[in-house]
Amino acid sequence: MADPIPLPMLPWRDCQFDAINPTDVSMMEGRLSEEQAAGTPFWKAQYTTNWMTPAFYGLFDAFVMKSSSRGASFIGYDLFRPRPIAHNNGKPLSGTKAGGGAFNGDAVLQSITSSAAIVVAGLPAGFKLSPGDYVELRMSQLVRSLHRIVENATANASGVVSLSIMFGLDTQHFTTAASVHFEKPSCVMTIDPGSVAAPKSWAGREASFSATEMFFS
Amino acid sequence: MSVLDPAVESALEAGRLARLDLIRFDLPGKTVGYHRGGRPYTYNGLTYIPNRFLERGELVSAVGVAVTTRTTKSDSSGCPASI
Repeated sequence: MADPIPLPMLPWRDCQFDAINPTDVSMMEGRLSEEQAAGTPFWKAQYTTNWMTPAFYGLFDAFVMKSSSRGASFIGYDLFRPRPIAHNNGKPLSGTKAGGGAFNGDAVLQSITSSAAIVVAGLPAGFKLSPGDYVELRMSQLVRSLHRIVENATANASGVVSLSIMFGLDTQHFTTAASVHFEKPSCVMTIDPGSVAAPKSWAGREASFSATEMFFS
Repeated sequence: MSVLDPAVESALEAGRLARLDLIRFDLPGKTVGYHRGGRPYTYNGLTYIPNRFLERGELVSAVGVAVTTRTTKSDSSGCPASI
């Protein structure tokens, strides 16, 4: 069995995909407030399918077992934003890289300016990225870091772009050896125990589960 | 006089900061470090290992000269038997 396993192709209906940033705010006397973010931010997802045929249900049931704690983790992504919105035609990214060759959503990390700014190369000329798009940095199959692009950016004629990303990149584990992905940018996730609901009736045949990012290093 | 790094001090003054609690145990013959983050974190020559048994405490802050404290709880099973 592959590790991590991909999200199955099901008639998904709902998706929530949010970054959790543990924060404490303390209001003090004298117009002073203190806001502290603690620990590492992580992604949480909630997926719900539409009405499923028995064949789809079989796929879902098998996926739930495969990605359980006795199986492998899976790669989750935001179904609502599987690729940069300016280039989303409902099918995988395509085109020609500025340096030649077919583009399929994969790019190269040229440099890490800071944990919140990276320079990506190997894109088509003029490739547009908008706030809310995702970018995935991948060191290996299980070591992935998913970020949201927070500023508009457009690749130059050589296919190089500087991106502002949040939350910060873990620069102790991610180097310029990482590859960059814009097609279904994902992170490694596991299903939250007890969150699977999969009723089988004529009236309701929608299955759902929630999932949380896992960290491997 | 402050012993804090100027960057830390200005973040504290501004009231916005991101924090990673590192806990270091100096035991006879062995030093180990833990934190409650995602991946191992190397600081000052020691690699702090993620430890889910640590529980981050609440933020306690105060105006004035009073020393504030933080509590980080640890399950007793959080320490490996080998140390």
